[in-house]
Amino acid sequence: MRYSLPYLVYIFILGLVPFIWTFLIGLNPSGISQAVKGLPVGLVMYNTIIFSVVTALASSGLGLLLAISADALEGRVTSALVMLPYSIPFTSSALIWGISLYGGYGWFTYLLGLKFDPLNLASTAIWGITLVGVWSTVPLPFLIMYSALRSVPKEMREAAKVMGLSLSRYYGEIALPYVGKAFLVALLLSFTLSVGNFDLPFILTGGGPGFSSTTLPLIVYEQMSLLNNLSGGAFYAGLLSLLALIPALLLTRIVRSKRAILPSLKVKMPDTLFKPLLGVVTALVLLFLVFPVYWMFLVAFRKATLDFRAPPVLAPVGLTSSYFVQSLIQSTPYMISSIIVSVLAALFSVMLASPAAYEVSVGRRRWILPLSIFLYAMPVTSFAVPIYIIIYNAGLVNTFWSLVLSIPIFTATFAVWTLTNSFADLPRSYSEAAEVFNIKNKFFRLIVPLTGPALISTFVLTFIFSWHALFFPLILTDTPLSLTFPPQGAETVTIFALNALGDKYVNWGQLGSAALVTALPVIIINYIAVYRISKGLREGGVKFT
Amino acid sequence: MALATIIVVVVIVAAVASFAYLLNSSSKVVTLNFVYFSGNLCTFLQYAAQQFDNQHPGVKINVIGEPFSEYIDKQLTVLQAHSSQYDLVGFTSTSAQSVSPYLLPLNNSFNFSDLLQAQEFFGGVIYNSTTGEQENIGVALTTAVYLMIYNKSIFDNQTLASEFQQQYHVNFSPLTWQNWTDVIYADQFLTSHHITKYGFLIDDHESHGIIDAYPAVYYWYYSRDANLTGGNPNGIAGYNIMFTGYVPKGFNYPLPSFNSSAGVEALETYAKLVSYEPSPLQLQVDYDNIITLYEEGVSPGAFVFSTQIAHFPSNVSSVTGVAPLPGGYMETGTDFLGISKFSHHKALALEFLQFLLSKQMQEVLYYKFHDFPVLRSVYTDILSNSSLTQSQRQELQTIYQYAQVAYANPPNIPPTYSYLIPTFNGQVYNYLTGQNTNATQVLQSAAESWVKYLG
Repeated sequence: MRYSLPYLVYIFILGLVPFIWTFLIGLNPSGISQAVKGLPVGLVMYNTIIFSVVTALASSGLGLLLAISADALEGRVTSALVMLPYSIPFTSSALIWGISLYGGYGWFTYLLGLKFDPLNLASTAIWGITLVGVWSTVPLPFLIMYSALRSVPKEMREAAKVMGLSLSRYYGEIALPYVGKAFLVALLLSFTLSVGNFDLPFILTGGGPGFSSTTLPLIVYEQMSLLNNLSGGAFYAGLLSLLALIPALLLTRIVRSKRAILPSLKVKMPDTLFKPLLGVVTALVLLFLVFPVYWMFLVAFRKATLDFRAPPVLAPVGLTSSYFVQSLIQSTPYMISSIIVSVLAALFSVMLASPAAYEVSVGRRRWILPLSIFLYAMPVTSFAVPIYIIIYNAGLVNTFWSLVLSIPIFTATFAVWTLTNSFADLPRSYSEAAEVFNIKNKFFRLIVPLTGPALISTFVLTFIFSWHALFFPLILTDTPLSLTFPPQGAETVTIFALNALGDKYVNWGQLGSAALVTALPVIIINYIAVYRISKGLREGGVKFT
Repeated sequence: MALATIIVVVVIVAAVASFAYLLNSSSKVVTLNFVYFSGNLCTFLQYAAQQFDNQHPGVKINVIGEPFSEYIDKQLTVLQAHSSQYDLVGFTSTSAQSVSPYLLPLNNSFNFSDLLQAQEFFGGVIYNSTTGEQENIGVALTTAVYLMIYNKSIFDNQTLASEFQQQYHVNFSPLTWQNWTDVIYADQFLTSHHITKYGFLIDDHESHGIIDAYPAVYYWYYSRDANLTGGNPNGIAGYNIMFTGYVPKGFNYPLPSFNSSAGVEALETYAKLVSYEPSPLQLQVDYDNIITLYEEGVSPGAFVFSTQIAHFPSNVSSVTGVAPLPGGYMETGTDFLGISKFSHHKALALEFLQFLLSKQMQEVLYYKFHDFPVLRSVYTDILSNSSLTQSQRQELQTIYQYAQVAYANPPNIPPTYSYLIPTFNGQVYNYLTGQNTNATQVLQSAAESWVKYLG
């Protein structure tokens, strides 16, 4: 129990207690019936399932393809470019995609010859949102799959070369079955992230036309925040968590089994054909991933009158650096807060989660895993009020500590999930040897050094999630950092990035430049992480196999 | 040794921090926290707070600016927690009924007599369906209205003016237009002569804008139908003109009014206006793009909120005139200030509100921050200032005159955002895009959905 105790105490105080507080204390049947009245619940469930399943499958498939490309073609640039969608604040990227899809005015519809905006038709709105969902989710499965492919033992690669296997046969018959578990983990994580995705449907369509793209997270938000109907919100949040939890648990059982997850694919293609084909497909996918960032760059560096033209102005003309320079200067206090909070929250998450994940991986207190997945899947609005009360009464509002303590509700639960698999794949012989030699504190003295790369990769992922956190910084901080003594304020860059959205007005130049400025540190972290993964085989990367 | 050093350093830092904390808390400063959305008005509030502090030693008003897109999440979390963290909150008319349960009624403690009543009505006043009474839960800070802007360089052109007059027998100046048909004539004239690519831009955003644009058009028809208004052309607070101006017998809320011949005519007019801009299937005109599109010069004018005009560069604002909606009225879109029920300094908060709504600060709002005051007496004073330019005077006069008739408002009862808007906008959108060509059926479906939900 001792390894998981700190984690359990943490999630009890800041996870379970707020959950019970919100849902059980606020529960009343009339609230639930009011929440269901008049709403097309079936359509909302359908939209949520379509969005999350298709996003997970498509992003995992593309992530796998790009990982193979980066591995086969030694493409460090590919890897860095793939991670770009993860660098941009979600609200900003959703808004940029919104204007990219304008029929004939947006670059996307223009390049595809579409005369209409897919978000503006009831029959295609949810698919338009899903497209953007795939774009924003690809980096996560890519990172997982790339790490897994780089972890394939050197001996297996060399044996394949000696046997004269082409690259296509190597990946189809050896590498893919080997990294099957990693693919499943990537699929699961993408699915869970998508089920709870609030930003995209809210910003892109508001759930319309009508209810044609309304999803469960939107309903939870409306019930709890706009209608003050906690019971109604609890009902839909419960549905949402079940939707995330059930497949996660089923697939987790499959992950623990010994059989191969992905089948062996007999693809016989000479390298002289395989490599160029892979290159062409990769280039097309990269175009899809990178162009919105290029569009954001244009929006940041030119006047807004050039953003709404038909046909769209694709070339970098009429550029001005004024928005970017202003954002660079004004973002400084927010940037400092984000760096401090993200580093501390990520450290705290890994420190809490790793011992608990180890206990689960050796078969003790397995219930911690489904509990973690459940809490991870809950919409943040479910916890907001009780957590605010706890932080406020502790006198921590508007301090770094408010965020370092609250953000790990999601990052630590995520870390438990991902680290459990890493620890589960460690050979049992290490633990047995520790027992034989009576090594005390085996986890810290033996397991941690052996799984350093996995811990580092988890740290990077939780850093990125902490960096993008918006809701907790919003409710728990008031002002940007001021370097008085003692220093006050802790607003993060995600709040800074929203200042471009005014009352019935969007300052597009400010939006684009704030998003780019906010993305810079994450781009650097991503590059370092990918470099680390590409360098190491057994030494580097997350072991998701 | 290293450990001892670390312990000593930690103790020193803790001691200094504690001393600083004690120093802070031992002073007798009363701090009021006021959360508002970032922007020009927030800057005004911070300025006003400083002035108030100077006049009240021992008091500090802390104005906290939050991103507009997320302010309601922050406020509601704090208010739902019954926290005293914020003493004063700012909110829009759309959010009014979400925050109203947590705000102090102001009927008996604030003098509303000099306020432009139409500004206060949509968001500052809520209708209590149990008592049948209206309660003031917020105070309007400025005048913000939905109106018509137009490119003066087009409409001051005498050649175009006489040709237009000859063809349509209507004066070319938007200031004179008496009905929406005059706008359609101008759209037709200007686009057919290739003067502009589009006509007057009007919001047709399915997710939200339709609920702002439709009432702007509909009021012209609604206010002329006594069966709908019941003698109350402004509607009942919270329900406004999309519902009848009276509560029928046997109901405790008014019924939808737009499923009527007046509503159908308004929808047909709205659709004609939308036909002179990009198809909504292609690009929906909304807050994100209407200002930029107008700036590009693709349209002769637009229907916008007065707060949006502030974002024009000077080369655009210098040639942009303001006019009421055709027929001489406007729609409201102002913001409000309320006092939290959980504040520990309610009397002081009220005093600050009264300070913000004083003549002195309302004049500062106009002269220094270029926003429109909300007190009638302040308009009179400013308009008597001979140093105003001709265009400033015309703009102020127009705003003052027609903001008093700014009742062309959508509802803002709690289910508006989550249910009324999606059902109404979805149906109207189908009509605007030609997916359903029966205006009567479209409005009837929307009305039935509203009744089903509210019933």
